[in-house]
Amino acid sequence: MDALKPLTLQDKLGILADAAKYDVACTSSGADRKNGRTGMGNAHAAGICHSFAGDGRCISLLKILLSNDCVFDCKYCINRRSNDVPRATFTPAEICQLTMEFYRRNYIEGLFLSSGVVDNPDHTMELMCETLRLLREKHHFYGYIHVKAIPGASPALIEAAGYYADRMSCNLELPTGEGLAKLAPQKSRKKILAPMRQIQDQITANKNEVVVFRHAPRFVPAGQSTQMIIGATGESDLQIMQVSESLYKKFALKRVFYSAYVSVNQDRDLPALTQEPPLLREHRLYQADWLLRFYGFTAEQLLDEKRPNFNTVLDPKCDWAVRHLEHFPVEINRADYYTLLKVPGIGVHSARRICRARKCSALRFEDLRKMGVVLKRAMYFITCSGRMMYPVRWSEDSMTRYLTDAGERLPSGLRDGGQTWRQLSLFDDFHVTAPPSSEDGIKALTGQL
Amino acid sequence: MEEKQIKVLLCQDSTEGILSAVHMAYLSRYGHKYINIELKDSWEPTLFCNVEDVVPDVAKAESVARAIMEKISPEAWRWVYQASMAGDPGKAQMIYRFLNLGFSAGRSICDHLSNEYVLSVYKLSRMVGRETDKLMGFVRFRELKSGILFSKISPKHQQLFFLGEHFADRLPEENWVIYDEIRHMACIHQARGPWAVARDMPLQEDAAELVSEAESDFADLWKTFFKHIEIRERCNPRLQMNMMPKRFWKHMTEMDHNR
Repeated sequence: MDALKPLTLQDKLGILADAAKYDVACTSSGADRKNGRTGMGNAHAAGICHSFAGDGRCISLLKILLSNDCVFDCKYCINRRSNDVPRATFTPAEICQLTMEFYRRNYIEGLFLSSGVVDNPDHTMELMCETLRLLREKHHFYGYIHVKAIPGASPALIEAAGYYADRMSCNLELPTGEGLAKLAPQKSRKKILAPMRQIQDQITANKNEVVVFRHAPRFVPAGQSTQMIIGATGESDLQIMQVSESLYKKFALKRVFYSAYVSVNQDRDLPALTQEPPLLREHRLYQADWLLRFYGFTAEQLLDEKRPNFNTVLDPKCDWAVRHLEHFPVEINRADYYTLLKVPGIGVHSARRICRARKCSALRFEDLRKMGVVLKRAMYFITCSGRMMYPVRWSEDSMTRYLTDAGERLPSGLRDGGQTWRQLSLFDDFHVTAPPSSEDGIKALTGQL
Repeated sequence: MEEKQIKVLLCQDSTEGILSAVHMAYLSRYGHKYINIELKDSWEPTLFCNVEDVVPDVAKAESVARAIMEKISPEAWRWVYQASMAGDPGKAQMIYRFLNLGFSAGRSICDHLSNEYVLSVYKLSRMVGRETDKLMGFVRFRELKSGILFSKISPKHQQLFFLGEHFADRLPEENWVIYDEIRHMACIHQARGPWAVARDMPLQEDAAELVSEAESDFADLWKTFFKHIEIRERCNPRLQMNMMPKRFWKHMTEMDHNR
């Protein structure tokens, strides 16, 4: 009897939010749009987090699937056809109502619309386009919209969606083509990269168009992103970083997201169900991703064939620094911005502040601390007016010990594949005997970074 | 010669108040060394000083603001404006000292981050800015029977001017009110019209509780979404609390049950 009762909006929202939650991206950044004094909404360049779920991830967008009634059978996915889970499909009008009413109450920054494949990719993409059209044209919604490009949908539909959305993304799903063939037999690397390339080309074309015609409609103004699952197949960190690097370079992506694999299905091709999500690994990849995008590092600098995975006890930047002591120490009052950026404990903001402040007076260690430099890491690598803070023993081993003793502020409750990272560090190939103290950090784990 | 006595200027806790006091301090030619500016409500009387009340004056404050923008820099003005909204009782004095330095050093003053006063004003402005960023997300409106969207906040710093600007652009076709419980101030916006901040507004609690019929439905839908979007395997309440401190929870629809 129960099964015959039509689903309420409440039920559908529960099912389709549940189905969408494994998508990482929830950023609302990159688009800056004032409201034209009519309709509802604007977009804020820096993005706004509206809430934080119990797992500590930011909630910025109403993240839902249009439907989880999927015809594909991807082995890692909770919505694979052969799974017995409740199925639901929103109508475009229902999505519009939810978006508008949530937005009015300032619950959300906009809509993140994804979908399982209903019947075929074109039909699904049509429904998504229709939803976006209603939102923009009927409800005059000017908030943020992130929409997924369904692999295999026709280019015309992807283009139409691109003119309504702020950001588009097609998920790479797995870092390598072999992994994809094994776990998602109906998808192929080619089908995923085709829309990605199309979106990139049209963004470029549109940028030129906007230069000439100031009021030309904007195509995907906040750029495109993608995500891949970490730890479902056997890739090394080096392979993953190389993939990300080429995505940033060749496809001009705004972001690559990493999603620690959460076991939801049992399959002989998948890791065991009991495996916990590899959160520390995911964290290290995000740290390295930042180094690629803002700090001028390359994947090959951070990792190589001999050491294809990140160190569990040191963050990627410290790890790079202790292996390249020839670049240090750096003189704070003279080194250029990019050299400062490579010092552990100095970030983009503090490097900028240093460059400004040293114009006025020579900086001392106390000044650096006030400016937000993390001295407990930076002090081993810098001099102020020719002096180091304390005498240090200049070797890879002792540097590593200093840094691990100083500890790292990891996000609270970080575990890696069921083992705590204290246990892991005992087996590490590094010459460390004492594991670092685990300080609770305030840094965020994923999406909102 | 007898040592000059310290003069304390007591000003209202507002941008106009503080800047009017700065105006008076400069006009008095008494010597900056001998003048302190303090907030009227939080000042603790000390011996051996002359105390003077400053009446806030918009015209004087505006002339100081213009001078900051032209003689120092727009960036310095932004710092001062944000810092003047801070909940710190010593802010007036910090701003005053910062401006003393700024009017003599000019544009480059914002680079002197190793100076105590420059750094403290910069830090105040950042603290205020960070709370604004949080509140832009955490404000929750409820629809009242009259169709007005109503929201209550209790921030550490004065935020209504920043939130007013943000939401006026975001929800231009709605009537909305944001009420600051702590300072008893309200930011009021009229649909397709202007917005303003009113001081000394008592709140009629019962009127604010009369919500529209659809309100509880949408609040429930939102709570459902909030519950389902969490990945249980990654449950991490500490991280959640770090990102969304508990002091915001009492006004947030989805955190209602944790009250």
